Amino acid sequence: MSQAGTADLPAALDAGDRARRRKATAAWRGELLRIGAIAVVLGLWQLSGLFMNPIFISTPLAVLKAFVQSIADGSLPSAFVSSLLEMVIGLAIATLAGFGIGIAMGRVRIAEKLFDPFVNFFNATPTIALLPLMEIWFGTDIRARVAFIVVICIWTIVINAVSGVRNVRRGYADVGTAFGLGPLAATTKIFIPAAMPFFLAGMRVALAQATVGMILGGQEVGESGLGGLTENYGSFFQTDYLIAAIITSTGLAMMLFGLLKLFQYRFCPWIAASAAARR
Amino acid sequence: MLEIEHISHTYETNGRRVEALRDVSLSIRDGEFISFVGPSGCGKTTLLRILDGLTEQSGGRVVFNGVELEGVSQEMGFVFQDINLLPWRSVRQNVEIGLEARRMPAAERRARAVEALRMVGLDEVADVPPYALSGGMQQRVGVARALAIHPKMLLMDEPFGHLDNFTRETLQIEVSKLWSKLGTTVVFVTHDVDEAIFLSNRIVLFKGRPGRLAKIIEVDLPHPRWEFNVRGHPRAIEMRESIIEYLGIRDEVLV
Amino acid sequence: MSVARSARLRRRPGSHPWLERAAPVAAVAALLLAWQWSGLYLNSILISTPLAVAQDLVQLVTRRVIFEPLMESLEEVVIGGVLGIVFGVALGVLMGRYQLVEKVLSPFVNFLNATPLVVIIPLVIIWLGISQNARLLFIFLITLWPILLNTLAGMRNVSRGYVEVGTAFRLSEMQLMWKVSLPAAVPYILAGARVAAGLAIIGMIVSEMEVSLTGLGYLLITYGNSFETGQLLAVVFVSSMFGVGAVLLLKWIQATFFPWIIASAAQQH
Repeated sequence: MSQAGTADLPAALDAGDRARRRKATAAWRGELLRIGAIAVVLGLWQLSGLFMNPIFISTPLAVLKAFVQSIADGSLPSAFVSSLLEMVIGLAIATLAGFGIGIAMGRVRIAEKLFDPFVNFFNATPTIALLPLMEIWFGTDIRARVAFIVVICIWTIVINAVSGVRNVRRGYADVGTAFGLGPLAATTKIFIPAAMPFFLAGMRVALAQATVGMILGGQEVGESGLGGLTENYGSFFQTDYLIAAIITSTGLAMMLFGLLKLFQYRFCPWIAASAAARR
Repeated sequence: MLEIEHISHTYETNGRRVEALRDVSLSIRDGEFISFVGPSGCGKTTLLRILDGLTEQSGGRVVFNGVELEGVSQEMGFVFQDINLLPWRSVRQNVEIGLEARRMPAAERRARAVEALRMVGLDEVADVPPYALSGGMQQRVGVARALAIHPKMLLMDEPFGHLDNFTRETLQIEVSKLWSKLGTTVVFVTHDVDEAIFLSNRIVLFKGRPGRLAKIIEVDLPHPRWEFNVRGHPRAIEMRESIIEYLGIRDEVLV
Repeated sequence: MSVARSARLRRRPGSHPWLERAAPVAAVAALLLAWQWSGLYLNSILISTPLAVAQDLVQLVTRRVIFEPLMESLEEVVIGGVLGIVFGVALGVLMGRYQLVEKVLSPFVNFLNATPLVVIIPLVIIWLGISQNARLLFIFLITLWPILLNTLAGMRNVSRGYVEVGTAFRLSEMQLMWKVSLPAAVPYILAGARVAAGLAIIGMIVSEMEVSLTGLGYLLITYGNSFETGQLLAVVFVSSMFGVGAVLLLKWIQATFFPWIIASAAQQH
């Protein structure tokens, strides 16, 4: 390094330091702003209770009280668990069947041609419309609700599975051929891992669809789970409890999305890492 | 001994029929290092893929040691231009993949993989994910993967095409050393004339669309090549000039 | 490895062209036949039969039972959807352009985005009763999020490269927004619109199931409750056509007004 270069070094270090400190305060300010905004909204919300009939949007304190009470008397936790259970069972069935069919469709031409019309038809259908049919078939119990969840999200899973398997990078497929992997080995060792990003993206959408199915099922088919609670609280105009139930439902959804992310980090670390390395 | 007999290849794209290769015939001797050289689009990669069985020829046949080849042969190891290491497998697991296809037991696979990695100097990073390695190191893993199946022939498709100049030169020397140590037959595709002169016994020139075998050149330079300045050698310069002129590359560039 | 095994690898699995073309038709035909045949054994309540469904569909049309609900549903979807798109784009642009707005709104946007909006229906009923406004509000809300998020993503993803061009050529704030950021965000917005269209239809049906005495959703519930499976399936079929129509419409809009888009690039959300 030249003499001139080293002479500038302290000044350059200072400037770098300053820039970093500026960025840090800007980030600080951003966070404060965010917290401030939330606080302001909560404050206004609470104040609104003085002017408006609490039936409409209740107040934060009332909602908090309702939370505590419904946890204490067990109604919220049991609804949470029952909804979660239905989600898990429904998703498990949809995932296994969906990926099974989708991967088969993606790898075996005949399978694709056979299933294609049905998958496309049902994917275009607003599957919500099939809820009454589920009731006819399974009555008004858990089976109808689970079936509904399956019917809602399985098509997304299938389509993403097919897409994922078909869009595997040609080079990876070549590796399988060049090194002698038979079709089954190639599917399990190459196509499925390579298609994970697609699969996971599809699961995210399917998860959102399934939560809708879970709530709607709970609202319409017997009054069960979190959906049932909202229905119940709604009809009795218990807005504070209702909002508490809504927030809990959001929490459940967020928790499931978080679990999906965790799954990705734990079992598919290469997706994020290789994308980052490429950049 | 590999006999390429009247190989041709035509494919369809966007409704048009494209003739990639026309009537290519060639004999490849055991143990030689032979390069396919030509401008892009002349079919040299297609021919290499046909040799490995990745692409099916439209006409003609390939005969290896008296047996007509159909489909992928496990006697040939392929090294890809895009490297194509599977990111969900560690380096070692990538190298083992050809052995898995043969249902080799795990312990034996592991031993072979380590042996192959040692040959390319990467046995220390066996348990690392491929994306943690540099491009040059990744391609060395690619070579190890091909070597692990103990192939009779190594097919390399512009393996250093995506790497920077410094890495490329290092790897050329490594490949040359590997070849002289193992004695495997190598078929090497490249568009870099200097690279071909450095590495090969013979250079096959491909020309034109459709791709045709235009000329075969014997590279009569001494071995081992890495012990002297090949590029400066008068014979090498002569060959280089005549190849470039023959292929009309300069004209293409100017036009 | 034997030559025979390698030969098997070579042949592309299942490449019989005539079989491929016949397969989907055959599959659908087989299913329809099996379905019809099942009617002999199963109580028609369960799945009815294709002929019965077709008959009911025809009846629904000729007796005009289907038209009014269809029109109402259409009206709701269009109004609610368009409002959702307009506000979604507006908010998305604001949030994309002004850091302040984004910081303030994002916790709420993220929270509501995670909420399965169906859960809000009872709240909407408390606010607006069982009325068309309630349904419109719901459809509006349900289409708002995908549009907003996609617009935001579009605005953000355009930022660096293009904005630098704009700055280098001295474009004003407004010019940057209208001439650079917004057009470049269009593919994302359209991708969001595709999602929103599907959601709008779902919102329409759900709200009609729960918040209505009219519309297709209501028909579904009624037929379901009275176990008139044939009519039920006929209405389901009509709803599918709704969905298909929406997709086709969007495709047409994109092809006509935005032919420069390569659709796959914006499918990330």
